[in-house]
Amino acid sequence: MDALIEKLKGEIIQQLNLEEMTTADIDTDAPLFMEGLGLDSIDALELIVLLERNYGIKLEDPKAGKDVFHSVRTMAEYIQSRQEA
Amino acid sequence: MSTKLHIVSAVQLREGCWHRDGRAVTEWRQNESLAAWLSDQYRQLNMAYPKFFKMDSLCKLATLAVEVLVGDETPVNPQQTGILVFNRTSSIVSDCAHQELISDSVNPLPSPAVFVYTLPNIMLGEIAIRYRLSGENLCVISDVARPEEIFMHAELMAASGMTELILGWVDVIDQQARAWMLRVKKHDGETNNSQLSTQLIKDIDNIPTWTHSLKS
Amino acid sequence: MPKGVVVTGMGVVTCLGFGVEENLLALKSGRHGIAPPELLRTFHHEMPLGEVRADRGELISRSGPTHPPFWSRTALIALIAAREALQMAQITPNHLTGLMNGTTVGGMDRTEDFYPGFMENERHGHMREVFNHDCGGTSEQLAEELGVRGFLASINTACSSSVNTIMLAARMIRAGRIKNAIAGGADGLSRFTLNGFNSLMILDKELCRPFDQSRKGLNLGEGAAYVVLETEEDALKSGKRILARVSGYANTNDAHHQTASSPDGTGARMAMEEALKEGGLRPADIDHINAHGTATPNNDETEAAAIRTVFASSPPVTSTKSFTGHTLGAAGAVESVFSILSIGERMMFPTLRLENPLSEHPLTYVTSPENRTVNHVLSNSFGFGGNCSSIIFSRP
Repeated sequence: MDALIEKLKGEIIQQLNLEEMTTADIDTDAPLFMEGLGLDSIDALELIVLLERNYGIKLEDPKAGKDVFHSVRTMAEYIQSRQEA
Repeated sequence: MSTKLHIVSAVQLREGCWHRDGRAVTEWRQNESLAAWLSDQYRQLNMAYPKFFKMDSLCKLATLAVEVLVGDETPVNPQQTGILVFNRTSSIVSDCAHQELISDSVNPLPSPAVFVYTLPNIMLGEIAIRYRLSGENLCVISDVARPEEIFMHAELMAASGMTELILGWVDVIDQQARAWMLRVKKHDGETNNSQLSTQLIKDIDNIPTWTHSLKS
Repeated sequence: MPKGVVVTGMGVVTCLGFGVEENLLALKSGRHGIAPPELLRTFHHEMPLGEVRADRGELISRSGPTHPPFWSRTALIALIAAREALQMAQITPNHLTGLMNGTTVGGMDRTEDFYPGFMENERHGHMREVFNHDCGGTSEQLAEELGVRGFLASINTACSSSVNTIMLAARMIRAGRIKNAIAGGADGLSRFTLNGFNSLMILDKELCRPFDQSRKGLNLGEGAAYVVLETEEDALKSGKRILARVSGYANTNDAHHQTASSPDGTGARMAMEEALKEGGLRPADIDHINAHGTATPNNDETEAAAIRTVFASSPPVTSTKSFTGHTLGAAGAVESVFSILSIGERMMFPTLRLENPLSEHPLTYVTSPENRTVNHVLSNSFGFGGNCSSIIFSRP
């Protein structure tokens, strides 16, 4: 799980062009949206693309993203649950 | 047309560094690509605007130009500040990036963050967002900068109630960049400056397109 | 002394048909034109589209351009609509002093057909056929074919492009810069836009439902529409039928986000307020609103909020995108033509499939064709990049 979280952080930084951030700057449990990293609706869509491209997971309903993308941990848990299923 | 306009300040991109009113405000440094050059200029200007990195190169160039032009002197009447940008190659860089993503025959997966930049007027939006400007905004696609056409649009905007304009030319294609930007205000004085302005525009537009290159 | 600007001709092509008559018939009878893709070659079979029901060959025979291979779908439908507008205005192109054209994809459809082969073999196809790919090329081609030699402008402000062309033309005429102009816009469907909008997850796989609580997104469409504008003085002198007066217009920036509107629709509100001010009209003077109404959750909610703020009592609102889909760069001009029709026909066209209107900002909606005298109609067009435009047409 920890390895997945670390990998995800790197992928998020790359996918969302968070050029001045390092994985150490991202708190695993902090909310990604709103105050957290200051992400917006386009970033949410980019995270959906990230899930599909890197993990083969298709998220059809953008509204479902709210829970999945709450924090890096919830994202990692979601990926793991989908991969086990 | 009786609207009088005068130029408050002028910005140009010349040989890889920004000039404001004729003086260089950043320096050219060796970078491996236009993208790296854009980031380097951003850092030289101490902008602290992380959104910058999410933009495509066209919007980055426009944002840098306006940063040099406006700096801390944000327009006092954001509702009456118009944005007028001319451009020749539209959003070609992002258009190509999007086309490449959707042309993948195995897994065409477009990127929303790329697609939103496939319109040239998104640069106007980015400028408006950064400075909270809500006045009129127009993006005109043109082969060359014709001073009379540029000033006609500027005068029409001023006549419709804009007291200040951010006006310029921004183009990016491959490793080539071209940008100049003027801050123009409605003029209360007696003399009409449009003649002078036309001359200035001519001079400004004579600057060559800058191609990013490595120093050999 | 600013001059009064009037509309003396108009032309339109959408999925509802070719020309004003066919479009009017569909609007009156509540018959939309959105269906699964038939002409656009795409693997997105699930996405309904508002396609103009004619293949390339038919468009060429309807419009008869000089060098057909160089004409894209966008340019062909533009030519058909522009010719209709000029004919209605009884104006010969060499008497026209301006052509303002709005488009967002230009000749993209032609390029998409050309490139796959070319990328494999550089000798494949003819480069000249995509020479007019860009937005400016489409406008120049149109001007040349029509024989318009005056002022030429190509505007791309996304989905508000063509209403901004009408605004520019009206302003230039009012300021005495030009005598008359043809203004509008066109966009043909392309895989470029379909895939892009799909990635933004704002397309509905069902028929779109503007202002309905169940709305999920928009349907893409294609179309072209142009109006001929001249001074009221000239039109009266020549005894032409005046279709409408252009009484107010404004453009603002929402300054919020690249694609999303601000929660209270600030840019939209300011555009409507400024257009009223420009026209010397009060909100109560507006009889009807042809909304931007794309049917995306974000647009309809924020537009409704803005309308509520400007209008203490909501005029009947419609979104004709429920008939045509969202024709992008052409939408502002298409809806200008429909707005002018509602003045002339004394009829408000419905928003189709509206069953449970969004409740947060209650508005009055037109849900079936209504016979009502419309003296002043306001049309909204908003584009990505925060570009917001409103235009008001009035009974002559």
